[in-house]
Amino acid sequence: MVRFMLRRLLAMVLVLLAVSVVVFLIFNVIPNGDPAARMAGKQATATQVEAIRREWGFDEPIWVQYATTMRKVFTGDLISYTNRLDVDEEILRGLPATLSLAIGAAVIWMVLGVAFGAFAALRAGRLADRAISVLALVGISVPVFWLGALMSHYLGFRAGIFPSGGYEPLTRDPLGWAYHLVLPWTALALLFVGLYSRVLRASVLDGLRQPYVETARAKGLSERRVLVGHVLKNSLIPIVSLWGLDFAVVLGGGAILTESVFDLDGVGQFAADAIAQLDAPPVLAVTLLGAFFVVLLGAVVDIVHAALDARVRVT
Amino acid sequence: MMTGNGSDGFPRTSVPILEAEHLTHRFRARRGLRRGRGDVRAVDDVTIELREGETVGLVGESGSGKTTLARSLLRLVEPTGGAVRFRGRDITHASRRQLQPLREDVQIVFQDPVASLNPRRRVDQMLRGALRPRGLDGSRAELAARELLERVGLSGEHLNRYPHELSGGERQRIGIARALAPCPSALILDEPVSALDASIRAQILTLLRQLQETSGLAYLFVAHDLGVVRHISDRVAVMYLGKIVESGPAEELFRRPIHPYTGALIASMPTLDRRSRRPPAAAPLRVGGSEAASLGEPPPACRFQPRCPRATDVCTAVEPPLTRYPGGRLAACHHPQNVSVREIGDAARSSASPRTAGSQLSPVS
Amino acid sequence: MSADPLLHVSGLDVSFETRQGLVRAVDGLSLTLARGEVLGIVGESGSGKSVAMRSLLALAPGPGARLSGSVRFDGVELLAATERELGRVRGARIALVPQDAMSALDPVMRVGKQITEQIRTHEDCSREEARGRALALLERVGIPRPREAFRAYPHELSGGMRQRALIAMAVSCGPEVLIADEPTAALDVTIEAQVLELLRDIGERLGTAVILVTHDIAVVAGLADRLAVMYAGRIVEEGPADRVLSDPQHPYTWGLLGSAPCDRNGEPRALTAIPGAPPSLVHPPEGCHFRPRCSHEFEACSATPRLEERLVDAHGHADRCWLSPEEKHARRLPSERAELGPERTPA
Repeated sequence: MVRFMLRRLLAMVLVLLAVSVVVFLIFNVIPNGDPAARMAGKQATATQVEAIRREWGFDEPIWVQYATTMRKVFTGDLISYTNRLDVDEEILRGLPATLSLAIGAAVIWMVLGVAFGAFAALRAGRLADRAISVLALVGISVPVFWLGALMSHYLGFRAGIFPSGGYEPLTRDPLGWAYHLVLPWTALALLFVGLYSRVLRASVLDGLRQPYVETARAKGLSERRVLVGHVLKNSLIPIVSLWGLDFAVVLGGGAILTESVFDLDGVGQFAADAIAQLDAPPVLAVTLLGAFFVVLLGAVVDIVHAALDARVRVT
Repeated sequence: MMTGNGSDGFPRTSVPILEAEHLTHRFRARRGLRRGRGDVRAVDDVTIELREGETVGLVGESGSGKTTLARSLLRLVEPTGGAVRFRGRDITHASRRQLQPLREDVQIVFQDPVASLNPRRRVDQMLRGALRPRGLDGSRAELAARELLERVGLSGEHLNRYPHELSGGERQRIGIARALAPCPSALILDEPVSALDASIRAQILTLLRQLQETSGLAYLFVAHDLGVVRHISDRVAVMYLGKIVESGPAEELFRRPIHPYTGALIASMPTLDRRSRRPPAAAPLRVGGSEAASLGEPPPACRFQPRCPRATDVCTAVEPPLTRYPGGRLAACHHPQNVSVREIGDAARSSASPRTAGSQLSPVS
Repeated sequence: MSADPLLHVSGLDVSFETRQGLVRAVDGLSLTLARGEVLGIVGESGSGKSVAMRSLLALAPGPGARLSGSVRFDGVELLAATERELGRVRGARIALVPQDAMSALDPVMRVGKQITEQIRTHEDCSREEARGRALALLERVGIPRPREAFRAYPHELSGGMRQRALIAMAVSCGPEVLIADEPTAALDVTIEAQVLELLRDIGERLGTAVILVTHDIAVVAGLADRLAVMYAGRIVEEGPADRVLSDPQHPYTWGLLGSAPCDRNGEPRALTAIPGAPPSLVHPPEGCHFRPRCSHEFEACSATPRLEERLVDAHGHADRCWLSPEEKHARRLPSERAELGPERTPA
């Protein structure tokens, strides 16, 4: 276990290093990316730009700039190039909205995905199964920004059933929090409900063919207990792993589009705005945060997987 | 090269095709719930040889190391100690290129040979691939492939089949045909009939016999089924937890097993005889099994001693040497059965004994 | 034969659809099993023996499979029973020991739990009671450290131990019928002998009727009271084990006996292999299914022979072959006759 943790820690360091280098380099090579010019504004003279460049150290060799930036990332001194706001503070400010969105959506897609998947597997080949398959494909194919925009427009703006955007902190108004998040949760979860129901359907169908299921039936267990106690228990193991990883991705910026459409003002939206401005520091910080979540939850998933399935060992 | 009697008690008439001398193969045990720790000696100081035209049966239960031994003879697994010789030449550390003659002259047939191959390749593609080392291609390869199929009792129509379109017996025939392609002088058969039904198993055994008669092939026949091994072998070696505990001419060994383990194996064989409804005494092994024994550390000295009904104090203190008895038989036991006092008098320590074995010969039991 | 057999199967058909067509896996199977009897069923892969055995528990080989005919157990028709009724028979009165002990146990459930689950399904007992009984069962089937095995996951046990655990599970509710499907196929000989001994012991001590299914006739030779030989979905020969082994009537049985590498005394002998391979169950040959592989085929064989007693002193020894007993006697290889020992004169 100690070896496992050490190895994962090392992996995390390497991944974060690689991600930061890549992001940093991208911002150095893209055209129009000169931070000094952007900071100076449109009307700036060449000397003003030059002054900013010197002041911010943009004339230093690239590896020095990288080292400076990385130091700032970890000391919390990172400042946006465009609006000069403290990046860490901005991220912290957006985190509750992003967490709320990710956790709620993850619960919804897990529950619905499993329910639909198991139901489809038990009705395999019949009408209900085909209907769920089609719906799942629709869910997977519909782009979240389009669906989100439609929902926000018709259910929110036009019908007025739901708020058409914005975020209400949980601490201030729990009901309002949920009320504001219903549409974003649904929009974000839909894709995963589709995916998960397909994965679980295949996994349950495979499980039903396993000899141990026949053993369970031959033992005299009721069909319901065979399904819940043996088939589903085995089929959920891969789903749980998948869930952890998908959750990490959503948390680490995968919900950018949903956040923007519903104006949640979360970390994703912050990153989206920064990208639009070619503002390197926030993008770097958010990307690192995302990578951190992915690697962290990857390790958690491995530990949980080993706990659920004794054949798997963490190494 | 020695003259006279070889280390395993057989007269040496020519250079053997393959020899293993004090061969050892260890691998790292995986730590975890299985209590194995440190190195596992899958094959531990084993000496064996395969000569032109003979069939050597290698029997043992799972975990005995028989398959690992067979594979290390071909250097498919790397030995960690001892030596392997191919036609007298030491190949223990030979390079890939130096191994080329061995790789052509000795072929291996697996339990399900086609399963280890690309399922998208037709039989003719497999056989052509196997014929390439002989420099055959085009129509000459096709001719040779048909000839191979006929030798194994199939016909040209099988050339266009895919593995999944073949029955179990046909697959094994294809596996043998493939092995015969480079005109080898020996086949290593690793559980070749274990997955087959009785009627098909008989067909394959008959085929192997015929091939041996017509081509003078040597076989190293690895199996856990004693009936099959007894049927096909000239000589038999019995392995237990990485060591050879007994070897000798097949008939003699089955009729008069010297080692108690061999005796227990033979007594456990199911037979068609209704009268010998196996009395409990005939399966005298203590509770557990070879598998149970192979999980932990091997027992000290004689490895069979924890399960052996004849074990005494000496068995836990001194590892029994492989002792040569008259008639070309070897057995590693302090309490041999089925041997007369005179035979024990004539017995001598064999040089095939493990190096860790005691020097003294078995006392009279 | 007992007037009131415990299990009476008649005209059992099992078929299912595959991509190649309709497979008739079991074709008109009839057999009876008396209390405490050991019945050996011998057949090669694809003979339908495993499918047939599962039908005795009204378990279909897959969705869409059709089971027809009759399986009467202690007066109850199982093929017409409700799921609830079946639930009271399966595992409690008829138990199955599956073939592959690795995949037949749930990989993510502790072995002990899998046993207590069965006990608590059928009997009203506390967790502790069930645990105590499971431990006692594990010990009785010869598992050296029952407590460890109870807590272990299937992959942590060796093949022999897993097979024993499955047997412990199967006998946990004191069934009247134990169906063991190739219980030793994956085991080493010394362990195979121990497991067979255990099955015999269970049959004798608990009065359980045992159906032992195998592809290796030698495995059941020493154990069975009666033997049934299956080929391509049908029983081709059935009778008291002594008689089937010493005076086999069907050419397929001759072939099976001739395919054993060792004779009755364990001596090696010349093999008389059966040529060819078993037929497809989608398009089996007309009439006798063994016809294409049989060297004794004649005109009558294009019609299906019934399973019936053809010998005068049959004593329940029946076969599905058109040859008369005299012809069979004459055609069996002389060497085989000599070896098969005490000869009985045909009618």
